[in-house]
Amino acid sequence: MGAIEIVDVHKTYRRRRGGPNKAVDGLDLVVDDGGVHGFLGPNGSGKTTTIRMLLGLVRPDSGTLQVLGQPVPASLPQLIPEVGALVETPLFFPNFSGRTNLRILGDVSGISTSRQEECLEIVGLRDRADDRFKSYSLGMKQRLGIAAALLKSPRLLILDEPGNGLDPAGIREVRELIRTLGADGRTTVFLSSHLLTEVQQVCDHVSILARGRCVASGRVDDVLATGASDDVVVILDPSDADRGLEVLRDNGFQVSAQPDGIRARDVGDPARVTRALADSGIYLRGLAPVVADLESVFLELTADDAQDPTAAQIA
Amino acid sequence: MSTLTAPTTAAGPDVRRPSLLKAEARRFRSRRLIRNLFLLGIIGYVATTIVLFTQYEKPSVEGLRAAQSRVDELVLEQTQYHADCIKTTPPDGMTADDYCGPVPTAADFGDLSNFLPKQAFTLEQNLPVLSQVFGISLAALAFLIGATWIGAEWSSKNLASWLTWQPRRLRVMAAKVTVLVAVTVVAATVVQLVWWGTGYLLASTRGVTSVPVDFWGDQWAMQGRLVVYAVLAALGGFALANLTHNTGAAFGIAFIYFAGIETAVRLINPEWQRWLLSDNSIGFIDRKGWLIQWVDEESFLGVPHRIFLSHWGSGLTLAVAVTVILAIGVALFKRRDLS
Ligand SMILES: Nc1ncnc2c1ncn2[C@@H]1O[C@H](COP(=O)(O)OP(=O)(O)OP(=O)(O)O)[C@@H](O)[C@H]1O
Ligand SMILES: [Mg+2]
Repeated sequence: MGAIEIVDVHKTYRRRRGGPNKAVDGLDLVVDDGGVHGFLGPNGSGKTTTIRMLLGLVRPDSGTLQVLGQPVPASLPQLIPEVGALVETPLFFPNFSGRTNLRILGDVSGISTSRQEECLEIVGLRDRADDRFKSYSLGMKQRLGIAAALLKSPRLLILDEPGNGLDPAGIREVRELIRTLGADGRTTVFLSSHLLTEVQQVCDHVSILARGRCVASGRVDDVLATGASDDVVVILDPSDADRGLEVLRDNGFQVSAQPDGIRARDVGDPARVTRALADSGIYLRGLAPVVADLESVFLELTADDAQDPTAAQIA
Repeated sequence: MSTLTAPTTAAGPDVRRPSLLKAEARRFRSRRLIRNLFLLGIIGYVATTIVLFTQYEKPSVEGLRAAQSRVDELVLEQTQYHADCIKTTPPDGMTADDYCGPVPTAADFGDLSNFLPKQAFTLEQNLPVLSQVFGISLAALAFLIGATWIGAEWSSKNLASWLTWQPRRLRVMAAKVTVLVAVTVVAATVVQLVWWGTGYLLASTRGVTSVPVDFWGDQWAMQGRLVVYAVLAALGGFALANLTHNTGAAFGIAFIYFAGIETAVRLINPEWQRWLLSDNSIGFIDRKGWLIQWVDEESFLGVPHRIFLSHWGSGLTLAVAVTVILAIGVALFKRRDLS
């Protein structure tokens, strides 16, 4: 049983101006039980919309969604005690203190005050718990949001960009917390993020979203491998560089000069490069395969996105 | 998060009964608006009571005697004037009696109490007014509280947050409405009882407690209707703010309706007045109901058109209006995407 199963879900927002807006366009997604699953995509790719549909806040136009093996939104009332969520910016009553806000949520779900205090402790907000929510800094608001999401000790924890506004120490702590939760054998964390490094550091699985569709999904290592190219960088003596470029081109390789050497694309067997150069009397100093990181895979997979792909890095 | 520890997820939360109502009740009493209004209400009550106690006075023997002698004085003055008038020649075609009027008596000066320095508080006259004034004030406050109660949630976008804790949208709304109604009933009942008590105290120390036989039946019924009226006002505020997703808009609509639409309706077709909320409010609150009267060119011999709004009829009209607005808002909330 998967923690989340989404099959062919479509969602179009009807806007008053500017016509319909396809936010999610035939999304298929499976999140297995346990561990941390990254949900990665550029701005506007439909991450938050997907999460809202999982929580019953937004109704899909078509397709089916399941959470912990049960259909949503139909079974949400039974599921909700097992699902903790932080969607985009945390929403609380601005004039109430952090503690009062948690008390209210505790009343709704029947969670003891000791657990509420424990969650405040976990996110390091106990000292400021009696200050009004609106007086909190961005990071403190986010921490309270995480505390609220943890309150139920959920089996599925959905976090929509939890690192928002946190300082580096806070980000590291949240990442550790997420990793701990993901490793406890009980909790599945579904983590939406812009931050490729975050996903690479914390997640075991990742799904990459572009234009409302899943373009890659699997173990982080495997997704990296799909993006791994057959490219190599050939390092030559500077005096041989120009001739080397020519020789390789004559042998049918796609090449380009780079500061660190000559990049040859889709070489297949690197020995072919070595032989071609040696036959012309050029001996290479080094040959390095181009290692994919999630960032390049991500940019490659979402490259033809209508939206500006660099936006994903800025945010 | 320096104190970060592995959360005790495996243990699970301790069990308590989940209760939306409890959560909403906590929210209600934690609100600053409510706390401030509560304080203001107490201050207002004390101030008004002090003023009322200084305004009224039981008629004393000396006071009555002074009033009687003042009336006697006036009668004497007028009698003198009348006697002088009779002696003059009246204008053509008038008798002396027509010209000078009848001989003045004490009855011409009305009730003796008009000549007392301070009035007596009479249960029969003053208590119903007290009940109405404070009942209507409370209804206005209830409208405000109802509108902000849901308006604050829309403006902080908090409703989406509730739904990640209780996805049954109708229950979420029902809990809000229930708490609002319960609080309004309690507050309005307390206000009515407190003013009834205060009025009784005023009458026994500063006036007259004697009332006609049918007085208490009408009075209690009216006070009961005032409690219902406050509930309708609270729900009206809630329904409008829920429909527009905005507290301010609820007030705007109420203002435009009462200041503009009602006036226009009265001008365009007086017959439609029977459907206006203010006429129905009067019909509902007044001790006897409300008789709408107007004259136009079709009125036979200047006899006005009449429509009588009874307690039941106007109460029903008000209730239907509130229910319709509330139902539309809740139905939209049930279906709409929240983001
Ligand atoms: N309430 C709404 N009404 C209309 N369009 C919306 C609404 N919410 C989202 N959209 C649109 O749906 C698309 C997907 O938005 P969504 O918020 O799901 O993206 P996202 O992946 O979460 O982006 P980000 O990384 O910026 O948070 C966007 O084009 C957005 O403009
Ligand atoms: Mg988002």
